[in-house]
Amino acid sequence: MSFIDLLKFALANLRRAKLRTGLTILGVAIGTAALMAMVSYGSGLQKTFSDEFSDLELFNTIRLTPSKVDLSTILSFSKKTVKTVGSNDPKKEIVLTDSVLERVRTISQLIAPNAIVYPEVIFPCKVIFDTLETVVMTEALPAALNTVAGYRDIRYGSFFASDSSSDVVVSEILLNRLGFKTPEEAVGKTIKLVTISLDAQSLMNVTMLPAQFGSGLPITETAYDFRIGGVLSQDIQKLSSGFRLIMPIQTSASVRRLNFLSTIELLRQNEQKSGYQAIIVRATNQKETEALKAALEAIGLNPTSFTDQFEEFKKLFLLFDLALAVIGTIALVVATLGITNTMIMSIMERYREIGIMKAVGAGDGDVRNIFFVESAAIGLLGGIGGVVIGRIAAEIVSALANIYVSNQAGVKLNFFHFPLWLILSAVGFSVAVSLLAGYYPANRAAKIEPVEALRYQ
Amino acid sequence: MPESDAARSSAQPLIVVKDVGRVYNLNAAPVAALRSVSFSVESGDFVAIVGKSGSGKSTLLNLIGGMDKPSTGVITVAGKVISEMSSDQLAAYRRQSVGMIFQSFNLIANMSAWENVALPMLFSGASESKRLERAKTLLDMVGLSHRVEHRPTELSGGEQQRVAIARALVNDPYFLLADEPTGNLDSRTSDEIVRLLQDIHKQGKTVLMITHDLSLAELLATRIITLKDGDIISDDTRSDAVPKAFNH
Repeated sequence: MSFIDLLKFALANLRRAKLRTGLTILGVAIGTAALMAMVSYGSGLQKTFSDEFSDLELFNTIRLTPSKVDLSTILSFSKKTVKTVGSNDPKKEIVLTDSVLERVRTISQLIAPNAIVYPEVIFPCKVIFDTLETVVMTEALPAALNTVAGYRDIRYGSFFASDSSSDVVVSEILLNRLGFKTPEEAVGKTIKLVTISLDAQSLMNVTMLPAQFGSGLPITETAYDFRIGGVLSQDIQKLSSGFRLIMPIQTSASVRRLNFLSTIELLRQNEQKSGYQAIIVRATNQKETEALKAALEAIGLNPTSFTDQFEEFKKLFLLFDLALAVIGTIALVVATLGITNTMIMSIMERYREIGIMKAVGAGDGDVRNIFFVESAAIGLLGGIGGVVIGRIAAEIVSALANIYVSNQAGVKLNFFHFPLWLILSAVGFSVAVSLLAGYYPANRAAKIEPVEALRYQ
Repeated sequence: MPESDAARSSAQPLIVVKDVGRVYNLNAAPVAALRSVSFSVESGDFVAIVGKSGSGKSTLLNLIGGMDKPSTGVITVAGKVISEMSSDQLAAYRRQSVGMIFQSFNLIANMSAWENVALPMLFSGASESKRLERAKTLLDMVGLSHRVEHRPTELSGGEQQRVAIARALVNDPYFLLADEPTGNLDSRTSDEIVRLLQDIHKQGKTVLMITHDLSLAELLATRIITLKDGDIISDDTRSDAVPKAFNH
């Protein structure tokens, strides 16, 4: 029996019991859709991260920290998340002072002349416009970043031209919180930034007369006026919570503030350390990045590249994908039990017909193949249906989730990713599992004795 | 396709049944449906196997048709021992060497007349165009050229049996094996089928017919083998049988 005849024969048989076949195919389709949606969700998250990192040239970024960050320990959720190692002493912590910053700049100039080196400065502040106010994380960046992806092509207006400019760049969602309807409306407007810092006089009073502590924290607020120069691109907004304000790095030096590091240092009085929480190096390509990382490691610093972080993320994603795939596979396997049931029912109904076919010359293999192809056809149709259902369901879930994400972060994310390999694998897996489900019924049909079947009424 | 009848007939009988017995183990008690049965059939014969219900004639049909295996003895068809064939060899034997005609027609309900006729060719791997061409020729031969696309439920009993006869001939087998071919038909339709079988025999095809109807056997067969309780009780050759019947 040729394959084409086998296929026509099998499809004609499936058409005879349209409702039963349709329901079985639907079951397989739902199982396949669950598998597709699960795996595409993991794949989508990974692709979103990968694309964003890549679009923003973050794979060319190195972050130097006082202590060595063991990513594998962090990502394996160990209790001991950070350990400190230096060039000689594993417990030594490197204080990232201005002299370290200059040394890093010198090395960078030698290996990657166009690299941008700057300290990581992040601090919270209150932003006020008119009667509206909100709290935002402020980041101080060099003006030189205006050549780097994400800052080069900002949404509206322009990135500040100098490190001492009084312009700031803000995220779109922050503008909305401040009452601006469009970026065009906001650019050029002056906003007030309020920072908190330690009040020297109050601090002295608290130190000398602890009893006075009850009168309040030794903290003072300072207000500054800034002009909104530009609005951040969507890409760069995706990587943060959405509430973001960027000011020139030199300007930030004159802003009195408590950043996270200084707050932590207040809590770690015994260690007597002061310095940047991190130094960032933005090279122009990955080759330079790798060379720079090696050079910085060689002088005992603790560089971590985004590539390293992403590799660790990928391991996590793999586990996540596997867990999702297992859940999806269970759904599909349960659905394929329906195929076994359908095939057994079909054999019972066609018992005499199988006898006739065998009496006129069908071999065991012919009968087995007929039922195998019927199972595979259900698997194939279910698989294709599953891809379509999975895709539609993913679009709906994605659209609904993006309503929330858009409100919170001002951007839209691709939660699901359907690469060709996933679509083909889902259909192939559905067919394979269906063949497995059809194995027992097909063999049972093949073993039917014609004499016995012809007696059956 | 089997070798030509002429080439074979010069060598040996077409069918040789030697000491064949068939015992069924029903509820642990063995029941002998056939006891040591022996006979042979020459190419071109029209042999009727008659007997009452339970005489063993259906068992003998199943054994010669390759749908069952004897408990003892040997069945040889065209020089090949079918009683020792594997399952796949038996399937090929049923497809190529035997044309089965059943009392209840045994057509597949969801197939058209031509698809039913061509069913054995489907398992031979013949192309659809060849199957259709051959089926049309045979349906024309049995007088059903106007019923090619009709389903069995759209055909009368006589027409269904003619489709079954066309199916039996589709692979040009060595012989036809007919099991009560007129058992489910009224007398007028039976006459049509009898004439058709007679025509086929006249064209040189060997026919083995199982029937409990002695008058039908006398009308058609050149030889009548009578079974009783699993044994052959008579084997009469009637060389003048065919000319007597239906001189149309």
